[in-house]
Amino acid sequence: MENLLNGKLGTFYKIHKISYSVGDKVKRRLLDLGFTKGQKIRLIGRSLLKKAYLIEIRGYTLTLKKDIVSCILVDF
Amino acid sequence: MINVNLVGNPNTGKTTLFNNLTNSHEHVGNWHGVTVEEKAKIYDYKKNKINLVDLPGIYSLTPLSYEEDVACKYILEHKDRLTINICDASNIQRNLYLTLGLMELGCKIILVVNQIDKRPICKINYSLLEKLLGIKVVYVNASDKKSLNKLNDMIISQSYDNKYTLPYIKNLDFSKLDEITSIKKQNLSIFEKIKLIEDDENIKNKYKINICFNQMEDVSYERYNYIDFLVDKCVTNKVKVYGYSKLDKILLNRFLAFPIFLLFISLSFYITFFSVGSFFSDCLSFLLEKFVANPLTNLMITIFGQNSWIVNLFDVAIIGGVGSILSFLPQVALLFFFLSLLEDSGYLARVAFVFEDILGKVGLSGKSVYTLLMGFGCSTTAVLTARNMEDKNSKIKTALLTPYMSCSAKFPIYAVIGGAFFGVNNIFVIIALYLLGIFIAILMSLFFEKTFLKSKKQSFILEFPPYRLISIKRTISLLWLNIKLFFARVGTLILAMNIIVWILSNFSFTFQYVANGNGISMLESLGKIISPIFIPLGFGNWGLSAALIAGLVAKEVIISSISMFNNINENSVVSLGESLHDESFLIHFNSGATVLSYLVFCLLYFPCIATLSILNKEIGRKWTIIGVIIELIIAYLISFFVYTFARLSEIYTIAFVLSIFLTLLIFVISCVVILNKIKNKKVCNKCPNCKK
Repeated sequence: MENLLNGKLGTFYKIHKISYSVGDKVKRRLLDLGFTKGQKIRLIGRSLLKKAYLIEIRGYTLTLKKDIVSCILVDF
Repeated sequence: MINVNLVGNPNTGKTTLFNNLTNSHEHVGNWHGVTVEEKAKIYDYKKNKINLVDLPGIYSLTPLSYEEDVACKYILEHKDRLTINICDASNIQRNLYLTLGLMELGCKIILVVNQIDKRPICKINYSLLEKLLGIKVVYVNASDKKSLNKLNDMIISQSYDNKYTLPYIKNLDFSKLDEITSIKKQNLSIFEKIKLIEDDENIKNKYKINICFNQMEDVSYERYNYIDFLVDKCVTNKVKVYGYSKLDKILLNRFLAFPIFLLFISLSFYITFFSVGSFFSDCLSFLLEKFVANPLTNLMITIFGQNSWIVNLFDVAIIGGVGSILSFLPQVALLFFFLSLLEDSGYLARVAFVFEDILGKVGLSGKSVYTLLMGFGCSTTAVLTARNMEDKNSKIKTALLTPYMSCSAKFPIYAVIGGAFFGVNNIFVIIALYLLGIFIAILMSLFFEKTFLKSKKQSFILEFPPYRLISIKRTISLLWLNIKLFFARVGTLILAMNIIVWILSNFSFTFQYVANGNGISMLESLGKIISPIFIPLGFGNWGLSAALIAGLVAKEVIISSISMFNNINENSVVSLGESLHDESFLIHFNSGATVLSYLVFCLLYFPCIATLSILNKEIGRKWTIIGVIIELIIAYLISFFVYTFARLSEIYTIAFVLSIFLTLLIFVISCVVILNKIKNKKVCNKCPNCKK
């Protein structure tokens, strides 16, 4: 189990869980957006200072802040 | 009358559908969170009255930001109504999640699948989906009016019901909740039960349950499990990714993204203000003068005679005042067009991603870029978009910073007054003014962040819309809409203000006509009271001070007022500028330093009345007043600084003044750095676990 930040760009990983440290509200939102257990997810880009990340999940793209990405735990 | 709620994920085309069903022109764009409040309109279809309510986009019935809260509350309050749940065909998997939420609530639902893209990336078996879900499913193209009749027929047929079953509910574990509710003897609906085990704060507070169920993972897992089953059965050919495209590899490249955005912005500003825009603007002012102003003035003179006050009113206030602003029509229309282009193409969401780094540092979120960019168009509408922010402090901050962006009403001031004094070099003055606004906004944001508006952790979850080409039809309708809005503004508000200013500046308190210099007008006596305040800024005469007050209503009025006080009878910008060079104009501006300081003051001093009332509504009276006071102080200080700097450069050489200024700046910065270091050292001594 590792957090997604340590993952390689462009490689699919399976979500293990969302850490509670992200806060209840954000965690629920991530689950609503489809970040469920076992779901395939990958990083596809990042911003200049690596503060924001581009993520592909369930066939769509979204951008998340670094501290949220670090709360997504995936199986390597 | 049939009441219908329009519900769906953000950016699925709700407002497009709303506009086409009700023949409205609500603002649409290709990013998430365009609609920030509910909008209702009644329309007729086959002798049925249908009341359609457009709601902001939501992902689920648990809100995170303000506009989502509006939508969720509305849905819960009106859950008996027919709900049109609109889905984007290309992203149906995530969109169905909300549908399940609405079904848990027990709404009567029509599922509208919107095929925005001509070649959808997946095929959907609609009849099977309808059978499996147990709700009506209809597919449309929201921007094609013909395809909407199917939907209208379905709405009036009233054949929809809420007799469906959700198979995954039996997999959910309510035992922990049932224990509590059986003691309290509370009867809960299935929706409330699910929301409770999802730890939804609003419902937990309502039933005074403060146990953490920790089951939100199970709930969303079961829902998505069911969706996976549905998608597996009904959707084929799902390969491409929604949103991300090959173009992003270049546009969002870590190192290229920022320069590309700056290039786009500067190019569109150049086209708007200097090349294409100013060409059309010159043409328009020439035509206006030749074919409207001159014949009309001559006509008035023949009817009323040369010295009648009616002729003067007509000539100065209406032709001169309104005409000078009217000639900016091409530029304003183009500016709004480029802003719409930014929205419609889908690039705006990417800009937020690019700016998250920088804006995060000054205590804003990438999402603030929407609001600040819209601020270049009109602060009033821009402030409304601050509702996208999740955190209250960030919302207030973003809203307060918006007026520092040079809005489309401020550009004519820069162009006319600056143009008269600096001629060709005015382009640099204008660029400097725009940059100054942005710079001050960044400084203010830092100031707010460090003092009393510290932003909480922003979640910054933002979906990427796909790139879409803007159609010619949409281009024309956008331009036309902006032209109409501009005419409406000039024809009502600005015209009225000009007439008021004319009356005040041509009649004394005893209602005596004083244009011939045989008395003091009302405005002159009022202006003389406040003008001493502005002496340190270099423009301590009544005319310029009075114009600033007139400009509170609409910034454009500042230039028409100044021209009125000089009784300049031309309407075009060029001729107005030329007449500003006259001896008479020296009464107002005695040097370039005065002009610069006046322009800076105009940029910073006060949001217009319309923005003020929206600010009051959005962030409350307290913050509006604080914001305005801060703005006034900043405007005064910066103008004073600019004036002093420019005056000194006039007396001594620029190099000399610049070197003194730079030395001071370096001194201040080093002081701040040293102070910070001392501060940090103290913190480090206190905590041994500190990474530093």
